[in-house]
Amino acid sequence: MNEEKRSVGAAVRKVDSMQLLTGQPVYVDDLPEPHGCLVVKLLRSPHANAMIEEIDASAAMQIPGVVAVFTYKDVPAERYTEAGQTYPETSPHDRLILDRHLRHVGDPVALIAAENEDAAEAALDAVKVKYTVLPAVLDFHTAMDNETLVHPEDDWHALCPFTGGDPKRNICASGVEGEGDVEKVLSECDIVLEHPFHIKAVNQVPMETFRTMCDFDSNGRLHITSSTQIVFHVRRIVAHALGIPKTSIVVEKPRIGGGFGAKQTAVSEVYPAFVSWMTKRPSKLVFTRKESLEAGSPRHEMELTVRLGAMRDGTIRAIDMNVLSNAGAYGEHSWAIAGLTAHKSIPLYTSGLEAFGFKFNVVYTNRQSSGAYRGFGATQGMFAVESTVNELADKLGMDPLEIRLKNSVKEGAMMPAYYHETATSCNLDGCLEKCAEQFGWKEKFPVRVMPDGKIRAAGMAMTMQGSCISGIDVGSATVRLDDGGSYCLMIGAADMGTGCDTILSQILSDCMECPLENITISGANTDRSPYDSGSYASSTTFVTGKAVTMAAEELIEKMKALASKILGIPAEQLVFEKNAVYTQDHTKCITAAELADASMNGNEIPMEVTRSHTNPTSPPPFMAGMVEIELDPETGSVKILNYNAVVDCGTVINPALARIQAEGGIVQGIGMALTEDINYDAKGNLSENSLMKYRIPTRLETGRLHVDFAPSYEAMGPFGAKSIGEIVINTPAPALAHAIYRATGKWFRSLPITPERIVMEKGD
Amino acid sequence: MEIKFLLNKKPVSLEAEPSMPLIDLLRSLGMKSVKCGCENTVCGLCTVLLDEVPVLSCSVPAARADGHSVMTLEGLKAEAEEFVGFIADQGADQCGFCNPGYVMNTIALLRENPDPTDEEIREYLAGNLCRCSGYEGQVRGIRNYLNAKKEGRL
Amino acid sequence: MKFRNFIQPRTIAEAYELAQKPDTVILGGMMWMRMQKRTVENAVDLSLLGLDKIEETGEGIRIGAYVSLRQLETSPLLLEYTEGAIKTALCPIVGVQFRNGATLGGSIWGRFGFSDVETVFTALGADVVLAGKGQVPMVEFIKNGAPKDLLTHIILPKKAPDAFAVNAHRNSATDFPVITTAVCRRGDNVRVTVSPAPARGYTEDFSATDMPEIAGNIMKNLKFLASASASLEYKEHLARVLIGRGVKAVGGQ
Repeated sequence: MNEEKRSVGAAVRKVDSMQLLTGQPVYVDDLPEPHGCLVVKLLRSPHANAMIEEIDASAAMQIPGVVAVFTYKDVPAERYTEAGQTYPETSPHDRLILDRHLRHVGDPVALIAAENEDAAEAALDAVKVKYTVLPAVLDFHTAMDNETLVHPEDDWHALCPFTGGDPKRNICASGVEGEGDVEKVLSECDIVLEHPFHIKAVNQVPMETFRTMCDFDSNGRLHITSSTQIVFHVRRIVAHALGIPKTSIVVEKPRIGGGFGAKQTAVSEVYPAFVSWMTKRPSKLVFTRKESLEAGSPRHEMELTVRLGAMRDGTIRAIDMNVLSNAGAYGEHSWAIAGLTAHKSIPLYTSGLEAFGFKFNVVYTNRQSSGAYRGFGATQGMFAVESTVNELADKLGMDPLEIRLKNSVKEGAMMPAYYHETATSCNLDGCLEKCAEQFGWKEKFPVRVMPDGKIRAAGMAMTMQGSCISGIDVGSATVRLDDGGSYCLMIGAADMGTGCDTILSQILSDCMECPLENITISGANTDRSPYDSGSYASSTTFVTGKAVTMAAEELIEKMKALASKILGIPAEQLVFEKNAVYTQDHTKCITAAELADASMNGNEIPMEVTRSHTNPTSPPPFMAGMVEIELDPETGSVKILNYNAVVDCGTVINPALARIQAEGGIVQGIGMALTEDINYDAKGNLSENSLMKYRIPTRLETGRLHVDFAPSYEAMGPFGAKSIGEIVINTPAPALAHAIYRATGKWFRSLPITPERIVMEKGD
Repeated sequence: MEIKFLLNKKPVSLEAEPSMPLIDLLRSLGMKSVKCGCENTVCGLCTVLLDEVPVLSCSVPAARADGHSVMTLEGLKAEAEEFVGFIADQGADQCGFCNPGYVMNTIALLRENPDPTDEEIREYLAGNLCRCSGYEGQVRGIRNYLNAKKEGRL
Repeated sequence: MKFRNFIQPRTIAEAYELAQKPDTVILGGMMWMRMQKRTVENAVDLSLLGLDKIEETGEGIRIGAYVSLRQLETSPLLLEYTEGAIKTALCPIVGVQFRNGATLGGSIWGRFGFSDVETVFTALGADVVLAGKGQVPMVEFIKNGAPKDLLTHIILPKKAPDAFAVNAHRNSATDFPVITTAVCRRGDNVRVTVSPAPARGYTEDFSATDMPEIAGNIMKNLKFLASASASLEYKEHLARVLIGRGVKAVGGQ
């Protein structure tokens, strides 16, 4: 095919872009409301740990317009998890739709359904509850073996015993692994650095909060329309929570107003589903921003202690990581996320690494439940390991760029800390070198005091992520030849704004050698879409994209078979090119449009193929990030001047969308590093419960972003592609901590690094 | 109270609670482009033009629209379409949820200052939060539009 | 906040009379007020009183209470009067749309210790015009408030400052300021105003000859309170730094 006509590699617009940019009604709360749709609201616990002694909804039920008030007495007794993971989930089944035991401020106490907003609001105030307030476990350092148990109940259960949970000790999950004799290697090292690092439970803040609408389809099945990344998991989770057959539920997602992992947990779906199932009426629940911040699914707060051993020449020989992670009140994604702290950070330094150790405990506390957030534990691990390596370079008087190039993982290396997978494609060094050149590392790394007293300094970090969950994630694509020689692509992956609908269309367009306009795409719906685990773990381009290429190849064979029947020439002697089937000498041709017509006329060869794909390994993308700041030593203000990043995400399918992923992720990472703070008061109330207080970056705080690519070619991915969705959030925190150290001489090992801390503290 | 106003240049007359936020009133009238992202005046998603001035419709009581003109993106589609394609070319629309707010505010910016610098764009749009794009793609898109316009490529 | 009646008086006298009624609020821009969880009977809107003008009068610059913050920062008259400082001071407040809604009167009436607007106008030596009490210095108003009264105008003295500087610290762009300081020099007088939220704004006048000592001296009288945004110690540190910068900017090398 003509190179210039290829879709892959072209910065094409997202297929939905003009709809979105002109404000069309495409999100859950914009869709036409079914007649008689009930407003659902949750009465939430004001206490961090309490038992409901009495609950009386009679006054609330008297309010005109209130249709139902449900309490713990009304819900099924079977515990479940909201985590969007492949079954059996590694997350413990530890929650009920409504529980008598309330485990954090914001835990649902009662479920209210009313004809209108005002009645529902009034009912919130009218439900009378008597609580027995219990001591709360708020500091995760004190959780393990605390006499107060977050989950004292006997029906807590884990489906995967290897996840190491023990609720009688407030342990949600735990694990130990390693290779080589870490203690011995550390004892032989010239220098051993050991520090704890602390990251808070920062929030994803998709601009659209959690929301779900339920009604009934023409067969009386519960039809859930939700802002979710995981339609198939939602069907299973809701069926499980409500104790109803999976066949009675259909789940779909319209456009999603951002996810970032927040919507990989079924945070809002179960409640309106329960209301609709009980009342047999449509219902809708829209979380307020406050609810989304107080009872969402933020990043796991963690304390990570890294011990890193190296020689004077900069060779890193051993890394040991000990992680304490805070699940909050429920255990969604806790085991998996804790694992990634080490699995994604330590392998970066595979070159001279002789041993590694890793131990983690995830504890329950009386704070809101944590969940998946872009980076998924890797972000926390990277902050700890990359900061330690920056300190090592400083201690040894080495350039942090050189120390990385010396120790970085190279293509073809087997990575013991990465499930013993091999770096089948890796251009990490290329990322570092290109980034250093474009950023001007040599000029910017030296600390410069400006005439007004402000200090300019630079910092760096490198990172990797995965491209799926090895051997678990399933991506599927159905491709159908349609009227006029176009193709309908049906997927179960969820475009949450990232553009996967477009990227998968680009891939199919190149497979069929047809214009992008010939592709139509149909998004996730559990009735219509082929099975897909969902859009998470950076897997959509890599796994579902591969399924698209496989389905396309098979459809081409079917099209040849049909052409063969028509032309009377054996299929083996036919070729597929430019959306048509030709004889080898190109004297005869049947176009896809003609085949489409023929397929609908006395034909029994299906012009539709579904292929599922899973990959046994998860080829990591790699990335380098460098930041230049200007720091005001008197006020502590940090201004970002430039942020450069170079990414190896394999073949870049769509450079515009890949760049925006990187830029968006970097800015989210900047927020986590500098402004997004989380504080709880002594009673377990979150202080930063509005966007006035929880400060995500504005466009005045990003500095100038410069993103480029240094692609390797990953043979297992579609057209050589890997992933980019998550890796992009990992470099800002360590790079900024590094730059701030350069400017102030203080290492900050906990986040966020606020102006006050820069001025008033001595460093961590 | 009875509220009469011009919605996207068409007269509307209805009975509403005076303190009802304008955003709720507009959405109830089908103006679904008007989004709520924060509930406390800091995200800019609910931006509409009230007598040509960009305001946060979450903080305007419906009563204050009485006798005035309100424009939403539904009524400014053509003006938006002049430049939003350039933002689409950057992939900066992303999830799209914040788009109507910042497209509305960009319309206000360009009416007020048809040839802004990048810094002026950032300053004017500072009250429009976006969590997907990292913002720079939006600025590049507007810049490309302005350049195309100057070079007569529109 | 919800209200049952929306009243638009035609005269200031009528508005003042309404302000005396129980269960009545005077609306500003409704930026913060609407987040209060309460219902009131009457909401009084002053849109019809012509309070949205910035005018030069014989006595100085008269600014109506319904002038928006955006009007203030784009007013050529005020930009010249403050040598651009009004823009620097107000631009970091949330965003253009917010500043189109927020009013001068609303920002001053609340006597918020975090208000950039209040700090700027106090330092500039403004008077407030109250429908009942008449014209009073802003310093006095900030100290005592004026319950049941009605703020209609702010008046800036005819003589523009010789030098004026606003320095604020925000933990993040467009956030509330942790501290805002303004230093205004007119001849021998140097006025320093500090908004040390959550305490009320503080103003002190100095002689220009004492400029080197100002930052040190004012600290003796300034009272800070720790808040979610900053500790007491950091606020004191910032005040010293920012006042120092302001004094330097108005000529106190």
